[in-house]
Amino acid sequence: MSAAVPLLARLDDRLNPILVKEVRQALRGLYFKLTFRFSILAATCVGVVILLSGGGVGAERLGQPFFIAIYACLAAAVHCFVPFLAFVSMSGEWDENTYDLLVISDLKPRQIVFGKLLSAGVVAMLHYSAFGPFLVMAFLLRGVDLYGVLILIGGSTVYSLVLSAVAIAASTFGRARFARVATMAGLAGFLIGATGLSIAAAVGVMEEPELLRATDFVHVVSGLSLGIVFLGAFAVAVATSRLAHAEENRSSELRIVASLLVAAVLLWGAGLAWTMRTPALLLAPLLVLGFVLLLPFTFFVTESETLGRRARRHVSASRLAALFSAPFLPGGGRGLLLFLAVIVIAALCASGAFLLNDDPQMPIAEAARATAVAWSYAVVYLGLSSLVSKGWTSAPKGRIRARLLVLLAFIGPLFVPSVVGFFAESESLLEMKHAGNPFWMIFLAADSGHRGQPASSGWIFAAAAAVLLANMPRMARGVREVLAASAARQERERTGAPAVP
Amino acid sequence: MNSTAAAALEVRGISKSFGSLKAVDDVSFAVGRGEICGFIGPNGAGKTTTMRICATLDLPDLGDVLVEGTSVIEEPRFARRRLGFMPDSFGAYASTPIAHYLDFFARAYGLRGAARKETVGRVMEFTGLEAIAGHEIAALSKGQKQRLCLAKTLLHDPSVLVLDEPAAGLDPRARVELRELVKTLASMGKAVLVSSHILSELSEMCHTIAMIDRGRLRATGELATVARSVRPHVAVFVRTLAGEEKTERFLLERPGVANVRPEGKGLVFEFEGGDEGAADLLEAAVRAGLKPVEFGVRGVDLEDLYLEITEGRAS
Repeated sequence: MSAAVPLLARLDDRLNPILVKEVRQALRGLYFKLTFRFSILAATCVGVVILLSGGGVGAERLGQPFFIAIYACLAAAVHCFVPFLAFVSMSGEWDENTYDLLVISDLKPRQIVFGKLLSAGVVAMLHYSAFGPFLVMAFLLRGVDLYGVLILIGGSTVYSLVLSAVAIAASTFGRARFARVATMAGLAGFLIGATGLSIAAAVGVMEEPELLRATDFVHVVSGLSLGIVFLGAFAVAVATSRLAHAEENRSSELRIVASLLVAAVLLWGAGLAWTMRTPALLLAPLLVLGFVLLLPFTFFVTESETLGRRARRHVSASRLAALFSAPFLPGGGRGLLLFLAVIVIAALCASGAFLLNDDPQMPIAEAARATAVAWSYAVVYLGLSSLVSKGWTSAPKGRIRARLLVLLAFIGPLFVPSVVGFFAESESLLEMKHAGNPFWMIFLAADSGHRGQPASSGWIFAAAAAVLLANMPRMARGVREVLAASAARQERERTGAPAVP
Repeated sequence: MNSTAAAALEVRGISKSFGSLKAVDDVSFAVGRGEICGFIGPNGAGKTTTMRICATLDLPDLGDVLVEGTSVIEEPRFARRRLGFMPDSFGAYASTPIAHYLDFFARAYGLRGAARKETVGRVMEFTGLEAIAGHEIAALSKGQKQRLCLAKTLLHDPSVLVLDEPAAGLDPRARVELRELVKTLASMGKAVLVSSHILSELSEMCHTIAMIDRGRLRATGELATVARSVRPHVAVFVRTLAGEEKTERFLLERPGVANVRPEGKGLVFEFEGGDEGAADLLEAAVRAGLKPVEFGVRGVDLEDLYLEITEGRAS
């Protein structure tokens, strides 16, 4: 016991300060007390009703409806109330004027975000432990697959953390009262929907437990899990970036997460292709990735072109390291450079799938063309908009305008021809069968084998290449700036000027 | 502070605009170690913006701020470890006890184990909060909250303190206590930049002033130096046994004396000769047989000075 005390004291010292404060505050707070009691009370009432209506404790397979009902109460608590508590807690830092005090302390933005996230995790754990007896009872009532229960509870824990991360990221947007209320309403809707999905998944797993052992289903679930985990990683990176000082490097962490997402999707796709013995399957996630990446890259390519003073000082003195780090450093041109690098990697993987394919029945050429069409559209949306708006991005309002332009580049060609089609009474335009609709063009490319004619997708490849070429000077300037910063650091180190006097 | 070499806090030509409004326009001044600098200006003059830039909370459009010679823009974390900022709006977790609040911020500043407990105890003792350590923040008076905010600001033992309106809303007793605390901190070698609307408070504790109006710095330096630059003359009071008429005649014959007028049992006049000249004048009065019983140079009235500068009577 005496040996444990100093150990505990040391552990206490190592704990994230935000975690300590948040848990202290949460447990004293009215919100936690109310939601915790409410969810336990609801679970008790629902459990009793099910037991009474289902013929009592001895009834056959009563465990299944009992578990689903209890899980619904638990999901409401850990997927709705707990993330909302994380949102309220982070928003409270602005409402109580403590945000500035946190920022000027020794805490890094990442510590603040992780402290909030971990405290949400602790509160969720309290809920899980309180629901433990109910879950055990569901198992004892029979009709519940233990493997399914364990998968559900494990997945639900990760899901709860991801939703809390999304809530924390949402709280960093819209600090004005109106924007806060709008964000809060949007988040509440999102969390209710997410809770509904979680309950639906529980119902599915309970009713079809054998699905969990089917290989196809495992692939789908692992893909979904990957998406959910990366949603959480992006949320943490966004929140961290939003809390950082204006002169800090706010972009690299997000770019690294985006690159990890690419790597994870490629690995997952490769795993899928390997187990199914079908290399062409790798192209499906690649196609989706082209569109998924549009969102983060809309922000990367519309960043201010020049490096901040602080980011410039921290560029590596080694020219080679500086060169490799350039796509990960802030700046619109460097954002496009990273996108170009991702395209090259994706193209290499697609070529690998193409070469490895030995099944003449597989329409690999069409799949590859469809993937290339998807990525070409992404290049045009990002490259063209950021080329037009590159002069605006030095000011925050200009950056917002530039991001709206990317959105407009996507939505405009998608819907305007349909409006024209409405007045011109053109059926094909009205049905969105035109070149402004990337999904139609992807469908055409994928379907060209069946129709026995090649898709007319050459022009979009040419447009993407032209856009990339037009952006080359911008990308080159971005690299030159990094190399100049590297040379300046080399010079500082040579003359012995300390980084911190 | 004339020499910037020893400055703990140096503001170098900072400018900051919010849309079309230029909140701070090319402001430069410095605060040395052990010095209290009063930051004076009307509402909306740019005081809080300047202080927030010093505290790394805002970014200037132009210029820089150095804390112990290091840029707050390039090395904000270095600056934060050496600078304590007390904002004008007190940020607190209402339902948290004082001891927990300070313990949290001590952890946030990286203090560990016994050092953390000792530091929290020391700042509570220094700010007189020991007796109410268990009280929730929501139950504190305005003065106690200000002392708690100061305690939080001192936790990491910063060498530079930036205090934004620390005396706002305090009763006279709490103001005196706060003033004494600030003086003690300066005597410990800390550089203090303090803004306040209560100019009499500032004139009693500040070594230097920086006066800002509509974003531009109007005057900076030691109070007496600023006063001399605005008004080359000082007010002198004299009472002699020779009578008012004879004394007035004597004074009007001396160079640098103007605007002689009676006040109480003596005379007040404006004098341009500086301290040396005033000493010569007193010696001459004694030699002329006026028998002076009272002779004194009046202190600078900061409120008058402030009005003269901000109302454009002086440049």
